[in-house]
Amino acid sequence: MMTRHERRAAIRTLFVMGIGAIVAAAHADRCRASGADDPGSFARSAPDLLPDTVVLYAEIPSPAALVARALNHPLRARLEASPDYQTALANPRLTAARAALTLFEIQVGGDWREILNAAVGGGIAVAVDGKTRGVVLVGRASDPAVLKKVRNAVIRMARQDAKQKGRPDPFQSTDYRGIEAHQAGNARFAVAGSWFAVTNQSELGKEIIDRVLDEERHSSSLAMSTRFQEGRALAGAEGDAWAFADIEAIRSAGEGTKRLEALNTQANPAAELILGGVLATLRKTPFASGSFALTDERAQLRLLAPHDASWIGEDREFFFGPGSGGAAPALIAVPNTIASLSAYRDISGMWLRAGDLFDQRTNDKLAEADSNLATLFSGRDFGEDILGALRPELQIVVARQDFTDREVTPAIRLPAFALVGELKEPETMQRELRRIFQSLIGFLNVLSAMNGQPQMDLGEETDGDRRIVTASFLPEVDRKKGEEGKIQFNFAPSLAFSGNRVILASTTPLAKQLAETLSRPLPPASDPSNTVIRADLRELRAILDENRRQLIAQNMLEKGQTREEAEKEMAGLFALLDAFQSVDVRLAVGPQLTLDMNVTYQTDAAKPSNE
Amino acid sequence: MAFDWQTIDPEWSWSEYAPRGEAPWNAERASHLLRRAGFAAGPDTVRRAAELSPKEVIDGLFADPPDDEPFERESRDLSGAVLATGDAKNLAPWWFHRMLHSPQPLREKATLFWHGHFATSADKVNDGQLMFEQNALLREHALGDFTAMVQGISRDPAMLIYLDSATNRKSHPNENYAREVMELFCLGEGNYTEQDVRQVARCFTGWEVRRKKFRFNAYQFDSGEKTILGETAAFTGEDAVRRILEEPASPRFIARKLVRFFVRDEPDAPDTLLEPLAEQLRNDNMRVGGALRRIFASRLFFSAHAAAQKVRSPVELLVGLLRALDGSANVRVLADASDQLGQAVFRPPSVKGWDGGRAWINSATLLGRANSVRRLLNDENTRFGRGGLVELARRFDQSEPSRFVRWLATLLLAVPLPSDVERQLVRLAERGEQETNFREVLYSMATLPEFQLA
Amino acid sequence: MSGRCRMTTRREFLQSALASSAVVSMGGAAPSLFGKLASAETRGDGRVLVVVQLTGGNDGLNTLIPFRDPEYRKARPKLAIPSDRVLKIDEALGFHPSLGGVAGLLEEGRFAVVPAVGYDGPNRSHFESMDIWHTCMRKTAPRRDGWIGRYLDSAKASGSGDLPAIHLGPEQQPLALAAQTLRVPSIASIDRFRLQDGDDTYDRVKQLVESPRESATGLLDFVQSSATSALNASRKLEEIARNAPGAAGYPSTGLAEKLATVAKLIGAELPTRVYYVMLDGFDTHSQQAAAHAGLLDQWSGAIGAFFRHLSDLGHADRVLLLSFSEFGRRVFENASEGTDHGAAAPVWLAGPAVSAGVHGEPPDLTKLVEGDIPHSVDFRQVYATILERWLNTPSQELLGGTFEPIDFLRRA
Repeated sequence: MMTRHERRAAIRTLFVMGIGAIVAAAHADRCRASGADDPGSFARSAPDLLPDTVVLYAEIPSPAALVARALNHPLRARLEASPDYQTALANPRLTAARAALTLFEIQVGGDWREILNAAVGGGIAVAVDGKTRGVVLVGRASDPAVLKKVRNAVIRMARQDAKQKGRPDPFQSTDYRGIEAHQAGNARFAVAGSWFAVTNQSELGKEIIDRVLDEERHSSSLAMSTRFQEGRALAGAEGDAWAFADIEAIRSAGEGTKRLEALNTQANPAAELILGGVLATLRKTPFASGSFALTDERAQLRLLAPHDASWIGEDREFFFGPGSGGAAPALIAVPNTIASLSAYRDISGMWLRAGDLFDQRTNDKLAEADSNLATLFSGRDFGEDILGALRPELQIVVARQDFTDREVTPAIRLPAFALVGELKEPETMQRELRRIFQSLIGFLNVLSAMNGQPQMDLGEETDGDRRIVTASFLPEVDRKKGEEGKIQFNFAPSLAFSGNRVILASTTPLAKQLAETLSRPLPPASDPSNTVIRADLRELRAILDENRRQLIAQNMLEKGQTREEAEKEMAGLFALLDAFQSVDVRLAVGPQLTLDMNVTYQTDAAKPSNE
Repeated sequence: MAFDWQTIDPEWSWSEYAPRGEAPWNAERASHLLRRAGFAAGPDTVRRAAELSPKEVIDGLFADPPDDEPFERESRDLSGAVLATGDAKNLAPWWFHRMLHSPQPLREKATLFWHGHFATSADKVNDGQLMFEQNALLREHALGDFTAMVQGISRDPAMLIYLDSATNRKSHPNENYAREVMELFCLGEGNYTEQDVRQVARCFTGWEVRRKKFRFNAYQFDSGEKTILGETAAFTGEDAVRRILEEPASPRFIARKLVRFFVRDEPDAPDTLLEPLAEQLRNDNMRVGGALRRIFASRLFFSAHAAAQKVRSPVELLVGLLRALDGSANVRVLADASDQLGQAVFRPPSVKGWDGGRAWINSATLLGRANSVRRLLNDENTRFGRGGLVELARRFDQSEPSRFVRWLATLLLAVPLPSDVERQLVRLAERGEQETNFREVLYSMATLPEFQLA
Repeated sequence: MSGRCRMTTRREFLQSALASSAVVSMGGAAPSLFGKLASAETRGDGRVLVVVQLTGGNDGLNTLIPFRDPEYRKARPKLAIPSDRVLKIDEALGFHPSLGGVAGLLEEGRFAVVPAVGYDGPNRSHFESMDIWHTCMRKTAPRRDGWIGRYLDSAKASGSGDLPAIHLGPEQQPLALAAQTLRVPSIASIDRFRLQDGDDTYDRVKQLVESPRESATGLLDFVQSSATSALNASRKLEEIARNAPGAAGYPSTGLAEKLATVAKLIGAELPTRVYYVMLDGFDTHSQQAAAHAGLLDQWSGAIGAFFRHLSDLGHADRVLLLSFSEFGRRVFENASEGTDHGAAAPVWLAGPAVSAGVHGEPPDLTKLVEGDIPHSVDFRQVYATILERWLNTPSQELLGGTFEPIDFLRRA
């Protein structure tokens, strides 16, 4: 077993080799595979070589284009300019890896970039086979001669190494239909014409060789599977990489069913709230596919699966709404928003359906929580009275706080956050919620008093015709001027109303800001979505930066680092964060369930700015 | 043959150790001193100490190091960060950071001793700042004036809250602190009467904690005459402490605890043996530095009656393992491991502190000790000389298997490695100079019964 | 002593070390895990007490229910359990419907209840009342140890040795276990009893620990033999975990996991006299019904499975289980469909040794004291019974007074 140190070293080595592969592939276009070396009479693609029992498949059809883009990516210049990147390159383990690479170059002959380019230039795919439980990597060289040389060099180097260490020959070679196959440990690999395959199951390897050598196309190939073809079509052709999962096959296999069953949220209400509907779809959908695309501005990941409203039981109607028609309200943005989430969720529905959704143990805990929450909410039933007063939607806003005018600045600066909901009956509920909020603060004050913690002062502010109930921590009486405050001073819980909306915020400024923002009509949500999340990584960076001192102290204590080491690591983290601008996640439902995730880079054209 | 204090001559015991043929000053003895008067020391420090005279090394232990300001600044910064979280639990990792890296290990070790003596638990006090301030008070006087320390503790908010003595009214004198100050802090049971407890309690009336600060409430102070330990006067609280510390039992009581903590777990030393130390304490007006120095310089301390005659506490085990190899680690892991092994710093189990000695050892803690060391060595944040164990051994030219094992033994063990065990460990080291393998040797050594002793 | 002992085998050595109970100073004898309870024939040896503490104040009135009493229904308009759902014990009293496991034990003659246990001048603070139950002392006295701790201190001379008691759980250790001369370990899980990282490690460590030493001083000898017994115990526990029957019948709850571990430890024949576990959450001020039912279900299901498991292991006869809460709740429910802090409550006992049934009159709800059920039995009477008749220890000094035992244990 590897220790963490060895694992880390191995990961670093892989990292270097990965960069090498990218560089090499950049040149791949120059010498595309001709296919002339292929035996057989028709042009084959990787799915033609794989059996239709494959349940997971991922492919980079044109590594060259992807790698070229990665190499010329604006991020690369940014990364290379970072001092931490330079430090990483000076690592002795990397030096050792580089020496190994040089040896490899000598063995094969030529620059390693060109070698790799020639060896995998024709595309690569990874697949997991359900029948043999094998994993296979299939690739196509643009220059089969180089591929053979690579194979020979790898075998030679490993044999020499074993000899030096006095170990037996690590390779066994066999012949299958005239193709030489090698085995080392669990891995079997073979080169056939311009194709190569690495697998852990010899049966799977044989099937692939058969399909390379046979004249006729096999009807039982993955390429001929209807679900695969549908998945391919759904994924679209634009991506730089795409993947397919045969959910139905996974489901029908005994072990697969168990795995899917294991993916349940019966003991985890939070996971149910976030994922319940997605898991329900996965229990019924025939397949799922995904695509990945990289541009200079962003990386896009899209996952898709056919969906049908009738697949969702009543117990999970809280997730997608009746007929899967629930739509999230538009995202709310205020200045310095770190993250904003907007979703359709009938939380009250979930709470009341808990008996169907969760196991006995969780239900016992929920009952206990219900009892405690009812105490907190002065006897109101949490599920029916509190959650039930809200329309089925959930909005969360997290924003950076401005501490400039505060009487007490906390030493640890947390973001402010708020929950926004829409009331079913604003007239009656506003007063009721205000009262509950006030008694809740009173209750918390009693608890704090018992524990010798600071107390909150209840107040009320009017902002135009909007009334805001506020609570703020009183500065300690004997506090020295300029002394930083406890973590509590990040909070000034406030309750505000704006139209039908109710806002429960961790600070008064955020409550006001949101009440104001929500008093104006929101831009309509662009596409109907179930869940939308937007995170602004520049704001995240800014709040981490405000806490840099704390983070360094934490690193020193938890990683045993010196101050210099901790500062360097922080600098690295910030250099990395500098590269990104925002993350957008969107879950939408229609004939398909679509999960989109976009990471937008911080390119030089879009420098951090304070809008 | 069982050990018997009666056979040990007090005069011989406390006379100064001078290196001789059968008791040479070498790396083993230097290690012993640095382990007991600190938490063990790394290869460089041990080598330098062995080249100096014992006296020079001991002088160094008591001297204020000229270059401790950067460390103190660092530690202050860290304490600020830790207290800002408002969670008293985070103080333990901070103290482990000090014990692991302080340039004054003796002061930290003595602070840990006094923390066990004036045991106060954050579980009850529930305020990091107050625990931190008490810790600073103990550290300030750790090698100095015991009287000042007791006076300080008597008005220490954390202590008074811990002993339910945050209020003390004239009409109902609170006896808790009065009892503890005599029984646990200064005299020991049998050296005072219940009458004394009631009288001393009156002296502390009006001593209160308000808003987390000590306050003297003159209206609640009982200014009448009290009779303490046979003497009558209108004593104040300060007077009471002074009077208690004048008792001959007091220096004996402190000397006994010092000997148990720094020299030998069991059995407790008899009065005759302690008398020279007690006399020194009396002559020094209860300043403990002189007595401590005498202990570390003594023949008894460097004899077989002291070596390996203490069970390592969890803190000594974990910090000792690291300090002996210039280690650094995630101090949260250390604090957590120490807690699981029975020594949660800032949270002693009762007002009596930790029992120490054999009480550290049972089936659960022994397996726990092995598992904690395993967890520590598997943690990627655990480093030796800021790098790998292999690198450290190579730096000192000790990576050859048999040298490596012997080198570790000198740094870590208070008794010679049994030859059979040594052979097994060398075989293990011969598997190769990989970090995993060297750490496995270290793990194996740390699970030896020998390593549980200091 | 070392020379001669080295010539004997490790096992013989351990046995001889055990036989000579000479080394008892400073924290006692070498751990005697494999003493095999050598003197188990003498009454009182090998007996185990398992304490299940119900933290938060269990609503005794809705646990042991006077279902025919009109006063009960008057006081509990919303929370009263309908008569037809009560698991009836006799014509007056019955269990809450969630207590199937416990009712089963009663049928088998292995469950007893003392209906109204408390103390004079009941304190309604959770902490204060719990401290009183733990130490048998009021706040005005110095509380340095607990009733079980004092028992362990007194029993030490008779050789309870290693791990006299175990608190199993992540909570802070209960004051009941605080002792003057020994320290009870709190163990979060049974993993603490296993040497991490496989057989290779185990064998190597064992070999290193058991290698002969040329000169073993008192302390070194003590640590070495302690380590040997620790390794043996860990191996035995692993075997039990692998081979022992019964552990499968537990519901998947936290308390059940803890009790399953306790059963394994008892099965491994640890010399431990007392095991202590807790179940928190009984502070049901509002919306009590579902929460309370869930907690009782956990409690009852775990205890039922625990005794089945113990019987399968062949160790049930050695075990007495005590379950209590720091107070009961008020007789009248509050406006939030909950109940507030009250006074006396039932104490529960389980095991083959109990004299099954209800020991004492059910509380008279027409004679309340300030709206609370007054106690008819002092909790120290329960302790006295356990100490005197189960653990064979004089109780007067441990409890600070003489308390009349209750007849909830069968006379041998």
